[in-house]
Amino acid sequence: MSEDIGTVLRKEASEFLGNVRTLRVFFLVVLISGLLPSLSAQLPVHIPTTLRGALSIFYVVTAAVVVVAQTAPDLVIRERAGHTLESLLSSRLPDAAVFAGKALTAALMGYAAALLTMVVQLAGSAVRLHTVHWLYLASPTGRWLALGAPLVIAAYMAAIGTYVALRILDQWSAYMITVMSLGVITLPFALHWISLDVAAPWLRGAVFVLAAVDASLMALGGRLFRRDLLVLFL
Amino acid sequence: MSAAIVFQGLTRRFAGHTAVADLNLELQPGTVFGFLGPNGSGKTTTVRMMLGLLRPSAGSLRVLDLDPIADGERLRSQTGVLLDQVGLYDRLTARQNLDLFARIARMGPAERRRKVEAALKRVDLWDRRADHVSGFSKGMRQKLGIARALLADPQLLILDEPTSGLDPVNIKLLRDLLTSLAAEGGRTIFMCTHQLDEAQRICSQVGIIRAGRLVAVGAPETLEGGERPPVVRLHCARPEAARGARLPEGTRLEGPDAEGWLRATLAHPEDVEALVKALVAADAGVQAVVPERRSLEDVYLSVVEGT
Repeated sequence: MSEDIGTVLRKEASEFLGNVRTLRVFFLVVLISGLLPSLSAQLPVHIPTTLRGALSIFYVVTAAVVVVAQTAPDLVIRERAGHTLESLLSSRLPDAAVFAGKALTAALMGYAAALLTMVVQLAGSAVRLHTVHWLYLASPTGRWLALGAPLVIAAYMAAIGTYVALRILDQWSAYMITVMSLGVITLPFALHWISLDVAAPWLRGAVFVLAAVDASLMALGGRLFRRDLLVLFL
Repeated sequence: MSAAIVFQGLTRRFAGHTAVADLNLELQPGTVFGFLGPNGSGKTTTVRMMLGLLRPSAGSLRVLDLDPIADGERLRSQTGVLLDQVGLYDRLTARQNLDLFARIARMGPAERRRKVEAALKRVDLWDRRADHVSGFSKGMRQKLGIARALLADPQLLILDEPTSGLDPVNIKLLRDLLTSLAAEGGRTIFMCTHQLDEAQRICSQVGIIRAGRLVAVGAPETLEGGERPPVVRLHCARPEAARGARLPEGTRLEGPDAEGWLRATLAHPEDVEALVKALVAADAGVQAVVPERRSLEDVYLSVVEGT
């Protein structure tokens, strides 16, 4: 199975890197998310250092979210439009490998966008040395959140986006449901069930919980996705 | 040896519509089968069920002695497929496209290189191996699709409209390729096509599907279907004498044509003997009597359109 997932990952990565439009969106998101903290540091508004760090992590997560929301449905919808999905499904690839390969590609692309955003943030700081928005990387908790949160959120959205796109094959609905899936995990904050100023250890725990949810969603998607039930053929 | 393909009452219904109804068919290994029928008659639905992409609503099918749903992965690993939409990755080169499917077939690096090269050379695309598929013509795409289908040396080849939309030159190229594949023997080929001459030339068996039902099956040269009175062609030394003969009731005589052949349409097949006796009695000098075989096109049209 891992060999098959690797084959799908490799294919998706080649396709992703060969698609100018997708790459343009990818780098645009990275640049905006990476440069905004540096640019906002120039505003004549006093923002506490810890809040600047939190905002920087927010931008890192946002980069991952935007890239996954775009990539996860796109990997399926584009294949359907090019009639390659049916070729892929006519091959010996197991159903779970098709699902997992696509979902992991979307998650890794989102995570790559997050990591590149951090690189751009650091580069932005190097140009404007007086900015301190990168200081979150100096604390173990900040590093943990900056490196962990984008990965688990990207994997969560990728699993949902890929499954929805494979099942309903409607581009707009797939995008919407993928974005709305993010709403599910932000809802407790939006409804003030959970305070926004929760402690960093709590957030670390939340990352672990979401990682467990991701693993369950990936396993569930791999089990539930079956090519003979695809609406593509109905 | 078990049959390569068995359909038993195979049926597929969609909401309020039966796409394939009670299909019964058995094909032996090595058969080159032409699946003929107009658009929307159920050919592609049948192919999808054979590949495990659709579940039958009723009946059963076994392909290479495997259940396409339960043993889908094993079945698809022994099957080469060219669907009506070739489905190639435009942003990859011809070689990368085949390499991907060789990886999917779990070939090792050396085997992958060797088989991809052999497949590209077989379809005359080796010189274009480094070109992106986005720049390929329809004919080149079809050829690359066939190369992809042949890559893993499958026991079963399923081709859905392999020559559709091609110009005459590419049709000939592809037909030659299919003829050579068919001549190799051993491999079962299931080919959906509209090209009746292609089916007649390549296929050892054909089946005609209309509105989801298999209405005729057999060898192309002996396939019968629809109602048509028997026809014989006669060559006579004195065709003008045949005009005065007392022909069996209901017999219609036409001709002679430019080559001197008369054409007799009989009311019943057993009237041939009485017809020949009548012509001999009229001193027409009967030299040859040949039953007129219906072309596959005649049979197809009579079955599909009722002409």
